[in-house]
Amino acid sequence: MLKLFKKTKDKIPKSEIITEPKEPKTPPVSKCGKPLLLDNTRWERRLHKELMSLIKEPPPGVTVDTESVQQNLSEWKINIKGFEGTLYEGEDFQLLFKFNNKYPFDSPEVTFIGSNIPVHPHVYSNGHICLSILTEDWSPALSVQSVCLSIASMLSSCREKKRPPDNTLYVKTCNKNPKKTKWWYHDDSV
Amino acid sequence: MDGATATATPPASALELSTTSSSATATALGDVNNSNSNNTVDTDNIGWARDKTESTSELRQRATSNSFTGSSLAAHETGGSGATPTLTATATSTSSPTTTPTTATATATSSASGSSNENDKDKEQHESLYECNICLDPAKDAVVSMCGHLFCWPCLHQWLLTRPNRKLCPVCKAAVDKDKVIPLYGRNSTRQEDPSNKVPPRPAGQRTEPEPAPGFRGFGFGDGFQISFGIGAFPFGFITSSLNLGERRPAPANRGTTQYEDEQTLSRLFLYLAFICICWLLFA
Repeated sequence: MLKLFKKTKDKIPKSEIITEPKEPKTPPVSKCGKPLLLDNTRWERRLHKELMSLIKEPPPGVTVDTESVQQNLSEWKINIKGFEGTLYEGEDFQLLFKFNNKYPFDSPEVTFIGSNIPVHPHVYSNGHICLSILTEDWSPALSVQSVCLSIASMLSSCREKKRPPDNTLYVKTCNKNPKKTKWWYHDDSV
Repeated sequence: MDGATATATPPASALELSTTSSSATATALGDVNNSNSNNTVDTDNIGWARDKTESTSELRQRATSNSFTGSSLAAHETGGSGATPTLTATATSTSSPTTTPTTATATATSSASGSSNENDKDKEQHESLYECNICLDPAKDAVVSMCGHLFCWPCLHQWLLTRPNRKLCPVCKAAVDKDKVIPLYGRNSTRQEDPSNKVPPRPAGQRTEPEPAPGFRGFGFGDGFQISFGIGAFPFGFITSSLNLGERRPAPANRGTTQYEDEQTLSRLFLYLAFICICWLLFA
């Protein structure tokens, strides 16, 4: 009898908990557009911070093209050097980072640009990179620096310089934005 | 020179301002922004005022931050000697919107011109310990996940909304649940949230009453002495239920919880039962 009593007692407050907390009323004047504006400064601020740390303590072989950043904060050009002792030793590559205003909740769009696109089983000849952290494994705790490091590591661990097997077909058919591609991440070895 | 004092003071003031975040802006902006925290009372009057202050402060902020990048980039090109203090400059320009653009740029340039000491670096490192892992600013409405990673509540909430079917900690990819994060209440942190944002209120902390201090408290009518009332066969029932000394009772439940109300109703019920029994014994 006691148990039964307790049970029924328990149930009542539970339904109270389930009910959604009342959303505080916002004044109608500031409702439109304001949250977006706040977000705008937030992602800009974060990009500033990342830029500062990248300039101050760049990972080895990585340099930011400060001129490109000064022109447009949402598009960064980053130079990356092939490490010594790897297949890409002595080569210079350029990466283009494009940030949208959902950054860092949305991943940046990262492609290789310029004349020298690394020949690598995960890099297509149009510069698109097959790397899981650039799409589904992205996390807002990652940064430009960590993406550069991942790409450098991907290049360094390469054993054989070759294009992806479906390169010609993909380059012909793909969208300009690599994030529109449905990537299939199957090879963790490189 | 004015610049020298400026370089010395900003980090401390910036820290103070930013740690108390939402309330800090209120104190910094004085009366006008004070309305920010309690504008549920009359929203009509204050909506306009707040909007205006925020937009101006934001403009200022942008102005300062833009000029700041310019100067710091220049600093880097000349050799990057003044790169360390620039971060403190961001902190001041972003966290205290009342500072005029001129003073902010003054601190930025003066700090870039020299005097980068170890102290600054230490302080910077110390500050970055309490930065949100998402926005890289000092955590505002700070929450900690069960895996121990610090975030602003608005940031974490937005991340959980971004991927509703895969709720992972941004840092370590452990499972994160919005009901299982722990809010951090520092000194002077108000529990009031800014009602103008759309983020739901930060989950409340879960507190349990501390266990009473252990020790011998058998005699005397202190907390430890209880008489309970029970019904039983005479010799056994009397012995088991009359006096129970020494055995500690479990801590009472928190006020307001369901358990507390439960216990209250139960104790009342037994009280009435006892009265009935006593009456029955007396009159029957």
